[in-house]
Amino acid sequence: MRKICLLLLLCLAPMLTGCGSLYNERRELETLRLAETLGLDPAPGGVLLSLAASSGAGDETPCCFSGVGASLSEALEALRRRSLEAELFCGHLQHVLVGEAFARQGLDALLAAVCRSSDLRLDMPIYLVLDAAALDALSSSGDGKTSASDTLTSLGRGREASTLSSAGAILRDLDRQGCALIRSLRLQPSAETDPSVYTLVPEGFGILVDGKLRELIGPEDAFAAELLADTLTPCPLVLRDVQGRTVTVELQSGGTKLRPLWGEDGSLAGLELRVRVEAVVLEIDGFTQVADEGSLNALTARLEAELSRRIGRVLRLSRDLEADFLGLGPRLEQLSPGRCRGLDRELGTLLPELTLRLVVQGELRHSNDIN
Amino acid sequence: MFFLPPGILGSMSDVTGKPILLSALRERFSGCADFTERRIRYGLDRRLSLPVCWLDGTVSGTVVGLEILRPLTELLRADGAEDPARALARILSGGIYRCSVQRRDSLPEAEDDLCRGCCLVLFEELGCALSFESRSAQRRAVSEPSLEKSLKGGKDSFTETLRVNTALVRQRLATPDLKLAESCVGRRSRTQVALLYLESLASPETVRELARRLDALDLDALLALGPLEEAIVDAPLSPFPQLLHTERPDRFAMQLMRGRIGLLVDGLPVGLLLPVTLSAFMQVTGDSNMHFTVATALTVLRWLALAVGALLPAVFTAVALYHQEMIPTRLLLSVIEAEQDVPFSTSMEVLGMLAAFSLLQEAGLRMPNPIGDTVSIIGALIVGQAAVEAKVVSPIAIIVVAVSGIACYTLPSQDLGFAIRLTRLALLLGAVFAGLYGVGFVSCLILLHLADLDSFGTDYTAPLSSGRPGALARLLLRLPKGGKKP
Repeated sequence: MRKICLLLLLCLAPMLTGCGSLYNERRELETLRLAETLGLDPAPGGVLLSLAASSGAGDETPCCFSGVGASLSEALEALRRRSLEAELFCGHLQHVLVGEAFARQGLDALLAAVCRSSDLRLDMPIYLVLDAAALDALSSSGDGKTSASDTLTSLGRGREASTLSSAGAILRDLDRQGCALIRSLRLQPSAETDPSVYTLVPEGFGILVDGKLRELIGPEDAFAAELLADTLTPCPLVLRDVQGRTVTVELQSGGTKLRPLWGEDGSLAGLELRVRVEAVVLEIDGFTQVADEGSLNALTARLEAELSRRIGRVLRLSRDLEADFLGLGPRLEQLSPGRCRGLDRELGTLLPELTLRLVVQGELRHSNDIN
Repeated sequence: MFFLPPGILGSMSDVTGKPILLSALRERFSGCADFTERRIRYGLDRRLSLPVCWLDGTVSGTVVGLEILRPLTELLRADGAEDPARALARILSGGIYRCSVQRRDSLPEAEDDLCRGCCLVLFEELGCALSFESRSAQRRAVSEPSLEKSLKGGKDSFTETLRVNTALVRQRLATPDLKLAESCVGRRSRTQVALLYLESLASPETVRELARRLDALDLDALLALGPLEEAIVDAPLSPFPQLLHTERPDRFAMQLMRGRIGLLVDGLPVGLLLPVTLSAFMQVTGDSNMHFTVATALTVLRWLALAVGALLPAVFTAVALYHQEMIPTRLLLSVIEAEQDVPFSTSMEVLGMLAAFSLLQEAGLRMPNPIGDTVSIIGALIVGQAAVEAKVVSPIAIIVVAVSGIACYTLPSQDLGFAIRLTRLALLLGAVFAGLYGVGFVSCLILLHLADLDSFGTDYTAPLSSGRPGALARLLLRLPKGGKKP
C-alpha cells in the first residue's frame, strides 16, 4: 500500500513542474519549416518581419515569408496564420538581420524579445544591412542553391566569427556602456559571373547608442575598431613606401594596452592607448627586396603612421559621439577598480575632456621573402 | 501402440515404506516398455534366485552384462551361499566389482535409482535391493560454448549431464573447499539439482536460504529453468534477471571464487549463479584474459551500449516530437527531408520498426541456422531497403532502431538484453506521451525498481548503492592484480 501511494504521488509530481504546455508542443517533423534567419524592417504602423525558412536539406530553395504587425510577436503570429502548408518553427533561428532604417528607429523591441522569447537566443548574431531592407537581403541574396542563411552561416564560421556581435553582447554593452558595435553587411553582386546573384558581404560596423543606430564605421576603419577592441582578424592593408610603390601587408595579430593617466587631484586626466600590431609583407609593387633594415624600418614607420591615422579616426568618432563603443570603460575598471568607482560620469561622456595618447608599435616581418 | 499404465487414470499410490519387491516394481513401472527384468540363479546350487531389473536405454548394456550379470552368474557360481543375507554381504564386499553400489531399502529410492540409469539386484526375502550405477555413456560430449564465445579462455561448456558438469567445475577448483550438495526437485521428474559453493567464501546464510527455498519447491517437473528461477528469486515479477546464467565452467568457477553460489540442474547445459548484481551481467569471462586497459574500455563500452540500447529510440522520439530545438539545424533539416514523404508519425515509425526488429530477431532465433541467416539478411537488407525506397519508413528511424538493437546485442547477458528490450518499450511510450519528461519519468521508475531489487540480501545496484567513494570506478575499471614479481 505504501509503495502504491508513493507511486501515485510520483505520478502526480509532474503537475508541480509547470510543464503543462508540453502536450500542446507536440509537432510532427514532416510538418515543420525551419526558420533560420529573421529579418526586421520598419513598416507603416509597426514592423515588417521576414523569415527565411526551409523544410529540408535538399536542393529546395529556402522560402521567404513576411508579415506585418504592431509588434514582433504580432507580426510573427500574422505570418504563421498566413502560412498554408507547414508550421513555421522558430526554435532554430540562427541569425537576425535588421535593415538600416529599422536600426535607426531602435533595436529595443528586438532586444526585449531576445530577453523574453524562447525562440531567440542570446548567442544569435545580429547583423545590420546597409542601404537595404532586411527583406530584400533575405529574398534576393543567394543563387537558388544557397541562401542568405547559408552566407551568414559561413560568415559565422569564417575569419569574422570573433568580431560578430551577438544579441547577448549587444545587450551587455548597451547595458554597461550605453552603446555597442553591430556588424554591418552590404548587399552586393556576388563573385559569380551571374550579375543577378547577390550576396551579403561584411562592411564595417554600425554604432548603436541607446539602442539606435547613430553612426557607421566604414570597412577601411573596421580593423582599427577591432584592434582597439582586441578582436583583430587578419586582414590586408595597402601602404605606400618612400619610393611611392604599393606595398601590401597583412595585419596578423595585435591588441591594445590601456593605461589611465590620473591627474594630481586623482581625477582621470587621460588615457594612453598602446597599440601593438604584427604584420607581414605580402606584396610589393615590382620585385623589390625589403630585407635590408633601412627599408624595413621605413616601411614599419609607414605602417604605424597609417594605423595611427585610422585608429585616430575611430577614437575621434567615439569622442564626438560621447559613446564608449570600444569598451574602454570596462577595461579601465578592471585596471583601477577603486579609482574608477570614484568617477562621477560614464567614460563615454568623459571622453571629450580626456587627453588621448596613442602609441602605435608595429612589427613588420618579411619572412616570405625568398632572399 | 501405446500401453497406458493404469495409474494414469487414478491418483498415484503412496509407496513410501513398502518393501522392494519385483512385483511392486512391476506395478510401478507397468506400461513402461523400457522396464527390463531378468532372474539370475545365484551360487553353487543355484537355488537362490535374484531378480535384476533396469530401464533399457538408460543403462549401458556392456556394464550390466559384463560387470553385473557376469559376476552374478559366473564368478560367484562357486559361492556356496544360499542365504540371501550372506549373498548380499558377499556382493557388497566385492563380489561384483562395479565401483558404485548402494543398498536401497525403500521402494521410492529404488525407483529413483532405476530412473537414473541404475541396475537393481533385488533381494526380495530381505525387502531390499542393491543399486549399481550403470548409466549409459551415450551422452553429448563436452563441446564449445555456443552463446558465450571467448578468444583466449577455455573452450568447453556445460552439457546436459549433471555429473559431467560438476566434474568440469571440480577440474577448475580442485579443492575440498568446493562443496557440492545435491537434492531432487520435481514430484514426477525427480530432477537432480546440485548446489555448489566455496565454503570459505560463500555466505552460510545465503547457502542455507537457497537450500531452504529449493527444499520448499513444489513442482511437478523441473524440465526448464523458468519455474526454478521464479521459485527461488526474490522478485519473480521483475523483468530484470536475478540469476546469472552461464554455459562456461570457467565463468562459473570464477563467480564461485567471488563468493557466489552455483546451481547445476541435471538435463540443462547451463549453470546458475547467485546472488547477482546488475554489474555482474556486464562482465565477461574474456575480460580476465585481456589487458586491464582493454578490459576497462570494453566494460565502459558495454555500459554505454546498455544506455544506448534502452534510451536511443525513446530519446530520438522525444526529441523529434517535442524538443526539435535540441537537434542541430543541419541534421534536423536532413531528418525533416527524410520524413517528408513518410505517411506515419515518428512514434508509429519507431514502434513499428521495433516490432519488425523483434520479429526478425525471433524468426532468426527459431529458424535453423542457414534459414535464420537468410531471414536476417532478407529482413535487414532487402525489406529494410525496400521500406525506405517505398517511403514507408524513414532511414533515420531504421538507423535509430538498428543501432539500439545492435547495442542490446553487445550486452554479455541475453537475459539482460531481453529486459532492456522491455524497458526500451516503456521508455518509448513515455517519450511518445510526454517527450523527454516522460523518458525521465519512466527512467526514474526503472531506477527505483532497480534500487528496490535485492538478490539474496545483496543490492542489485551494488556497488553503486553503497554510496562509497570510488564505487563508479570499481564498477567500470578492472585494475591489474599487481602481484609481486618473482
